[in-house]
Amino acid sequence: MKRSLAIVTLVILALTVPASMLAQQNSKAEKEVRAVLAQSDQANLKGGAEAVAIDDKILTDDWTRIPPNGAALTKADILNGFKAGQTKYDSLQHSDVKVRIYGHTAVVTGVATEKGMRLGNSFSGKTRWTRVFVKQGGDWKIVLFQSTTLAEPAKQ
Amino acid sequence: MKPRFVLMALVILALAVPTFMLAQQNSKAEKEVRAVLDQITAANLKGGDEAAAAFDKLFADDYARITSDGAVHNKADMLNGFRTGKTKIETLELSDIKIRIYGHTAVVTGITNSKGVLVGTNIPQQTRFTRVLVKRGGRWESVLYQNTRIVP
Repeated sequence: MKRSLAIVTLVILALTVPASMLAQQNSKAEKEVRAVLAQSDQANLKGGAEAVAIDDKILTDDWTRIPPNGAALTKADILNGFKAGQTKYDSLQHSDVKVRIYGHTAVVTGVATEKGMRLGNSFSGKTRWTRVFVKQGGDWKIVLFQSTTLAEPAKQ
Repeated sequence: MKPRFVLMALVILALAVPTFMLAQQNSKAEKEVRAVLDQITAANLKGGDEAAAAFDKLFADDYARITSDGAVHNKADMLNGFRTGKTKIETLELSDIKIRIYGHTAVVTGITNSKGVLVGTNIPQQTRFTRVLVKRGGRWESVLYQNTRIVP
């Protein structure tokens, strides 16, 4: 009886310990990813040379940006936009942020309420976005950012 | 002179072999991902229960679909859409496909030219999309798809 109890305990431990360790790892990863997202927001709100310095670190060289008009922009496009003063956010708030961790990848979705200028074009309103992060050399970096204009609910 | 030459050759090999192996792995992964993209296109065009059965395997349980009007559909919404006929894709062509492999994750971008209805809403003719796939248990599963209307 004592032996079977010990076996059951060992089986339960073998099943629960890895799950608990994975949950802890994912929780740590989520915190790290949210911190990089906050840096990205700071870059957008500051604009200029500060934005260039931040984004140069947190965006991968093969970074792709699909803005609400469906264009495809590169890292150089976005850095040049900040340098030239053509890109700057006046306000930016996130809601409904969901972070999913898949090993060294994080898929983050959310809604942005934002106002500002992107590559010389003014914008204002809500977008639903996805950012994909990859952990490279110990740091989380953003490889992709896509946003879609959120349709306003029909007025009754 | 000779030992130095051997040492240099070893250093070059040590640097080149892992890069070559990674390139080979990524090329294999890219082929697998392209095959999954073809399966997804085929299932979309078949529609109905066949599409629902195919997507039950091809989509992860936490799959999220962000539509071109910013709505979010989960896996159940997508499968039910096909089963009930609320989703019906008449034409679908992909172009400008770019696949980037990061270990067990693939980030795919491209352009869709399509006609049809998704969960009761007409889909725009041309969109730029992102699809994220993750390899789990030896299979690539789509975890996210977002598309944005291309403004002419």
